[in-house]
Amino acid sequence: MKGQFHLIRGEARVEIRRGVFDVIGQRLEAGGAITVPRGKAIILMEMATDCLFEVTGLAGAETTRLEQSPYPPEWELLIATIKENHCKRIIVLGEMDTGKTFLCTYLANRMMGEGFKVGVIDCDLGQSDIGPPGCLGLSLTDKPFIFMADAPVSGLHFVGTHSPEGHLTSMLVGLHQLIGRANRESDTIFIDTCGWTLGDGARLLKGAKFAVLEPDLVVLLQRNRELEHLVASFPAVPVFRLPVAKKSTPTDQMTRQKLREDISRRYFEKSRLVSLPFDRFRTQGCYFRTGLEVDRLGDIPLLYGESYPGYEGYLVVPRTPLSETDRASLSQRFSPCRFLDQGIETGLLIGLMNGAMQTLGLGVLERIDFQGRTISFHTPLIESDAVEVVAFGSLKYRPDGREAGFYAPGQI
Amino acid sequence: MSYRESDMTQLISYILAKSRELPNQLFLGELVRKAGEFFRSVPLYPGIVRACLGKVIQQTEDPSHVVPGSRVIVRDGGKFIVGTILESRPEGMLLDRVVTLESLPQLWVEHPQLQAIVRENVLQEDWPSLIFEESRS
Repeated sequence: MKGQFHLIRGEARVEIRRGVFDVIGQRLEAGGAITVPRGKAIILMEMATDCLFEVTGLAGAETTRLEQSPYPPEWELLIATIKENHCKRIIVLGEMDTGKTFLCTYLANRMMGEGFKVGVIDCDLGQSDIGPPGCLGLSLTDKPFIFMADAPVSGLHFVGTHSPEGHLTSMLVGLHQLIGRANRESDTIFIDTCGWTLGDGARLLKGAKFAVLEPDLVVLLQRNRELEHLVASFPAVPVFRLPVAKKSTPTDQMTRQKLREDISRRYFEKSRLVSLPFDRFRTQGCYFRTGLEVDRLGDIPLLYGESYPGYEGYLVVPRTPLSETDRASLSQRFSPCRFLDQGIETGLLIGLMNGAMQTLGLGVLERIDFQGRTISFHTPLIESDAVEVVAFGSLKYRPDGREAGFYAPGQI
Repeated sequence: MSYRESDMTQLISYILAKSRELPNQLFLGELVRKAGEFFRSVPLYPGIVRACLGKVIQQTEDPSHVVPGSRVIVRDGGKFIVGTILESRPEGMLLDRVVTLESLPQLWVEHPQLQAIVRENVLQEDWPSLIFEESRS
């Protein structure tokens, strides 16, 4: 029936048998199909009188026929506000699982449908949709998409972690870079933020985002008044308040992890092993390759070592594993020592940048060969010759793409 | 006043608060041991370390809570004992890796027994410009 809505939760495959459907602003006709990942949902709207679709349910799949439009009338008002006030930069704020990405997708598609060139900045490092986890992503597009993950990646900024805490500076530098490009190349920009809204760090980050992004409109997606503190200090910024849809459901931690791993795996699936000699790249986000090389510390010969000014100490790669006593003795004499045992760097997520510090792509470290003076990593990046800077992150991956833990910042 | 950029200061404040609240250094030692363990696992998230630390010390007198492998703190008169349960029977538990702590009002020791001195004035000596009248009083 024309105008009928259906909510489909993944993991499911939807095949259109008859008629025409609208999926979050994108048209889907007979013969078309969509895979809805686990933890994600879509809304199908029948656009013709005789429509038929089939759902093959996988884990956690659910299909619900909706009695009324799932798009609240306020969303229409929001679109009208954006157009009437010529809002260029719109930040969407909300706690976790409040439908920020869904709203941004809907708004982007609607604006594209009206001929606007749209930019979307994805600030969610953990649940990245534009680009792999650990990055800020920018999409500049005029083609509607059903899932933000389907939007083309136009720009990335490597942060190297799943959470902004402790990486606020890198987040803001990245936002500054991406908004600059989005400002130049699009009419309307939607900024999809992470769900970190409470506490000192969240207040600091959101306030700094306002300063860097200069939004024309802030959308608060809230249940009560749980986000008001974030805009209290910015009376000049117009705010549009939206209720959280009742259909928004929380995604559990393990599903979030699986979603992240799926995106990372997809990103790295066509990777190849690339080696770069030490003299071909600079490093960022680490001590390695920023000091003066030393070949011994006291009477202990090193496979590789660097000394740093003042209290920054030394990077120590021993030739053979050192005993705890040897380490304690060296640490006492040459404090602080950053011991790097060969092999522990394997699996570390790295950002690959050009000379202008723009992120070209990501890699996963295979090895730092201190003797051969090369670094090798897996990356899907084709233009690896353009890599001039390797930025070290804080996440570790297994060869099969599963998350394997963290590196404490400052360890290497 | 300004915002903290990370939850690290909260983590330190929490451990300091616990050092005053917990009955003695054995409890605190276990708390710090677990803090180290959590921090090595999730070095990026001091807030999560802090939240987990709040659940580490579970005060109980119910023996049904203990199973082999658990680390427990028990009291034997004036002495506190920490250890890992190797074996549990209805009448008691055999503990492994045992550390004891005893509080005494005074004790005579020989000079050769000395191991270290706690330097109380490091901050004042190394950073005199950071010591203010208000904090001296």
